[in-house]
Amino acid sequence: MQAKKIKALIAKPGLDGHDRGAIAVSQALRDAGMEVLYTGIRQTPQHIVETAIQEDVDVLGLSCLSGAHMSLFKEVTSLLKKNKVKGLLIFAGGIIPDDDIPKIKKMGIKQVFPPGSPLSEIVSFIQKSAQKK
Amino acid sequence: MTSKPGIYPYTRGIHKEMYRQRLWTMRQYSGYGSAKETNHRFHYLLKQGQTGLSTAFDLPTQLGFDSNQTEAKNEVGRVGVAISHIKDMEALLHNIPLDKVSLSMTINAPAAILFAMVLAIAKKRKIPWSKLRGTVQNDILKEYLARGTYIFPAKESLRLATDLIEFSVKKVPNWNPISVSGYHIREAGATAAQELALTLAHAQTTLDDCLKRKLSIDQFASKISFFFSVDNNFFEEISKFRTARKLWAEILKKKYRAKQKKSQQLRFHAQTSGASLTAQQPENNLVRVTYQALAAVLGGAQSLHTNAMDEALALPSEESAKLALRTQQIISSESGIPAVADPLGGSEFLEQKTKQLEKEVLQILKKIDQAGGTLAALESGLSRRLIEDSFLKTQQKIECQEKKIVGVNCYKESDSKFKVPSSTFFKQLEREQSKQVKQVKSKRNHKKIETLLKKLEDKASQSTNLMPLLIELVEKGATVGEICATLKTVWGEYAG
Amino acid sequence: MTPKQLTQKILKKDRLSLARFITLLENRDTKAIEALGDLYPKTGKAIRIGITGPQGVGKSSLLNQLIKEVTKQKKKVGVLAIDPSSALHGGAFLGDRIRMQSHTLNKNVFIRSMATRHNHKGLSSALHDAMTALDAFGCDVIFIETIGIGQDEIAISQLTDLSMLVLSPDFGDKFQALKSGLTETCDLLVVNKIDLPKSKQALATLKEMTYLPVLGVSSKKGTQISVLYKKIIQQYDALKKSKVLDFRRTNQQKAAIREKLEETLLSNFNQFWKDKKIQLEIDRLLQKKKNPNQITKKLSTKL
Repeated sequence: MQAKKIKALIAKPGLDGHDRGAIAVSQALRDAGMEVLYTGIRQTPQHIVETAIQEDVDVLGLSCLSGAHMSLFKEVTSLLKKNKVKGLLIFAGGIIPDDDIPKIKKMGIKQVFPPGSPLSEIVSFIQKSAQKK
Repeated sequence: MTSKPGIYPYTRGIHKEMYRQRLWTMRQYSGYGSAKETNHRFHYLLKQGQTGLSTAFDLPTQLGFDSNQTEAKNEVGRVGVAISHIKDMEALLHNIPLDKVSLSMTINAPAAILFAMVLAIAKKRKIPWSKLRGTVQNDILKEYLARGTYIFPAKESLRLATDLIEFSVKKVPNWNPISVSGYHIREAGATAAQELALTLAHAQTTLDDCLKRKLSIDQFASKISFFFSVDNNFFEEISKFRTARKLWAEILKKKYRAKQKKSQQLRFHAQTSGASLTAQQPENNLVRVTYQALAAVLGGAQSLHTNAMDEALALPSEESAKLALRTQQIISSESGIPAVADPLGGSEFLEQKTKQLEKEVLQILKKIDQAGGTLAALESGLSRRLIEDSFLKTQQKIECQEKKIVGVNCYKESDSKFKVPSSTFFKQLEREQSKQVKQVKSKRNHKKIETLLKKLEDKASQSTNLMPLLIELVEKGATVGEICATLKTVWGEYAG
Repeated sequence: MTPKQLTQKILKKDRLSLARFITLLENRDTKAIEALGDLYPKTGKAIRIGITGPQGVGKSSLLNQLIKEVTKQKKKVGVLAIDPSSALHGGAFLGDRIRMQSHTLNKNVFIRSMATRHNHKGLSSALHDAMTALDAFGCDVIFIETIGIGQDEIAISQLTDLSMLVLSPDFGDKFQALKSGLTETCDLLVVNKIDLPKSKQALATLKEMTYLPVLGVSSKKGTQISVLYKKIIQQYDALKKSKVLDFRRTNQQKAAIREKLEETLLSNFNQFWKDKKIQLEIDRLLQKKKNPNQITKKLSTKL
């Protein structure tokens, strides 16, 4: 058997085009030895979930800076449930109001990283929490 | 020492007297929610002494969707004002004297449509177009590269942008039909040199496109304005503005053979850097904004937006927006700096820095040239890679504390994080906006709209200027979404 | 779910199970490899097409257009897009999919990205097995996209029914360098980006240099894509008619067996290399008691 690898999908739901953060996270995860996909901007929740399914990723990172995160994240997590996707570690990044964080965690999103979070922190969080399949 | 301000190549400033004669325009970017709310904020800002207006649009508008389209769901009015049709625009400009206040609009892919609305409203209010002053950003190239609000493929989108410029040059002489923007390129991670090089490359694409319309260089070059970021490295930023002016003047004079002084003078709007603001110890941002603003003034900016301390993290509150404006007013009224034209001229350090930056910029420009020009560099991903690599490098420097940021990687305090406020009023707004779109649509002459849209479809595949038709369309009540959808059927969409 | 259960669900067209099963294959999970036996009898229907070529010629965009062609005919498409793992840190950026994602929600398309994970031929070790899974899943056409680094072009032609090499009009020296190996291994030369200036000239030059069929397309504009697809199908039909296809398919299996044996050998060898006794022997080098040739000779008897 070969060594297992963490496979991650970094996704940008919503209409905002600011993907500097998403790209930097993708690069950092790759440099930490993971296999990384990035969806590009303006992806619908349906798109993101279907990609996560076909690619069978271990980790899903959602980045949203437009302020529409609550509805979009909810849609993503519900679709994952509907499609019976299990064992996926989900984290989020972007401008997220403090009051929203507990609600987001309730959706099944493990951690929220605000702008300016050190990349090393995100990497080590994933290395600790992801279940390799 | 470099030549005096007001003299070619304008390194030290484009005017002899600079701010002694005319102060920079204080232009705070604002816009959120409905047109009515933004109009209130406009009036508030004007009352506080702001001298120009600057409009932020929501993402659906920027991407050519009406508020009631499924693509707009959850995004209506969030990052700016929602404008789907001329009634929205009328509400936005309610009681704003368009012949006295200059109006700036941060809109790109559908810029021609929004500009058409302004022209239609001026016509209705019997204000001659020659009296209109303002700017539309209309800079599509940096959207593909850094900001992401593109709709159509590059070639077609540039054609629309050039239609706007051509029309404006001929009919709206005091309007700036494009603001070539380095700001977003910088925010995406570019260095000062990259910001400048890519912006100059993009601006030359615009020059070339306009020349193909049989306009003479002196007819339009002076209408092109620029938009730069002001970041933390004080002297580097000042040198950046000096270098920008020098290179632009040289390009215009030597390469494009522009004869008029005005054509060779680079005018720019500056905005303090959003990326440099921190969520930790947010009050520190006030200090950052202050000396960034100072760099813009010492660098000779024609207009300035100072960020509110919470701007990078939330919609600025009325209080923090006011404080940001006050920052500019304190510099202009109390510091004594505007009393001298280019007070830093002659600083050996600054001169050196400017030379060094110029060299770097020219190297990057050469690289782009060798890659086959701006569009080729965009398509091959070269330009984007430049920016991404710089961003990652900076990020790594911050993480290993080679680059220090107070409150983030040094002088930290455990519990001083900015609390991002939550915003809840958007659902209601979305409903109201959608209702209005439907209302506007139900009250117009359907046949007429259909005919006009069909005409647009035909003209889109020809080369006639689309502006007159767009003005007619918005006057008759066609929406941003309808017009963009029609253009998409002919032009397709940018594939990323 | 056990691999065996996964294979049953794959036969019932379950995407989630297919995706999970491919992961297990990538991990070279022994039970999953065993369970492949259940899928094997259900294969043979899919046309397997390799697409290779240097970086930047637009393979993914071309593939995106080809998928459009295939799905127009209501056929099922599987795509395996292979990207290199970094030798330095083992990570990989799987960037091909982004060019094809307009098909993500099409239920007749299944796209999977795979990293090479130090496969010695620049392909994924799970490639052949993953094709088996896609075939059994019901794909009519399977596309394999690989980065062209020279070596894998030959390898991919051994694993597919037919393969094409994609170039851009500015191929120039790259083509010269590749020429010797590839004219024997691929079936079709495709020049992408013929919307670029000077492409006519490039096409003409290329046609003079090879006896292979050459076709110019533009995936950006969508020109000549349906012609390309027709040509692929024509070639496939000809192969089938002349029984060359049977020959190639046997060879594919042979190549896969050989590949797997090589990997087993390599993995055994790695075990052998780590053995303490071996290392002791090698340490004698340091004491200058033996020279490398003597040690090699002695160790080779133990292999």
